Amino acid sequence: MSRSPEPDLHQLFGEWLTLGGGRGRLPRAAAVHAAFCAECRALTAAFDALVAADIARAGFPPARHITAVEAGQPR
Amino acid sequence: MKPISPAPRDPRAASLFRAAFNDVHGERLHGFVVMLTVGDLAAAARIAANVMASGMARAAELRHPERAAAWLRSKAYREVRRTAARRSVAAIDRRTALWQLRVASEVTDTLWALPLEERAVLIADVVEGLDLRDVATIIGRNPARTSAIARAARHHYLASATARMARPRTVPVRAGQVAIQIESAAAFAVGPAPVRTSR
Repeated sequence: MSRSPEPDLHQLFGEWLTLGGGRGRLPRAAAVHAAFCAECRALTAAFDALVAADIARAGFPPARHITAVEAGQPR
Repeated sequence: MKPISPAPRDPRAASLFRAAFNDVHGERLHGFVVMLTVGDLAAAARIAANVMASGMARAAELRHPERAAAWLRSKAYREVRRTAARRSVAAIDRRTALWQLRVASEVTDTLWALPLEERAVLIADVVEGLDLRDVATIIGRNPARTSAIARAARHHYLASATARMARPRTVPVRAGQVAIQIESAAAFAVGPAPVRTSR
């Protein structure tokens, strides 16, 4: 009796995301599995939500702090 | 990023050089510290400003942008660990601060629940996409140990964030780069929808 490939693809996708950080080539079969698997889609949403952070939106740190530190004044 | 040219000796040019260093690194360093402190804006501003001042004083030695970014973050990480790791900030204020950086509330809560070292690695690795050796510099570990911490951090983050994001939410999650990647693969495998022809 042949074994279903589904658990392997599920594991493959999970490892690609968790161990590999979503870098490198994702086998197409694993990607197709993930597109239709609720658990894999939940992992995807959580990972993408972190990647979506835009740290440059914090703006520059207040200049008065930097000027004071550069001038050797107490912080 | 291209390396910044050597620091000039002329005082006016040196001042412009420090300003350029601030332009290249200031915003992203500040954002890194805001995320690392999970929205402690007062501590983040103080720490980012102090670290930027140290960096600008050593700008001539920190000409390579990626190495400079790692150096600045390693100083910020040590300072957060020393002074701001356990400061009390209301959860709503943390969420509001990180929302400005397009971070969902569930992600903010998950980051707050992680150990500081794993949080630093996640931000540097997943959010900023820094090289492993730069992430290792930030937390002061060797690359092999950093790689293991990164795997653990991603595992802990995903386990916690998926549980939090499974609850009903008012703001829908937008499709990101991994979602687009798997949906594209699925669309390619399934093929285009049949075209209807009229007789």
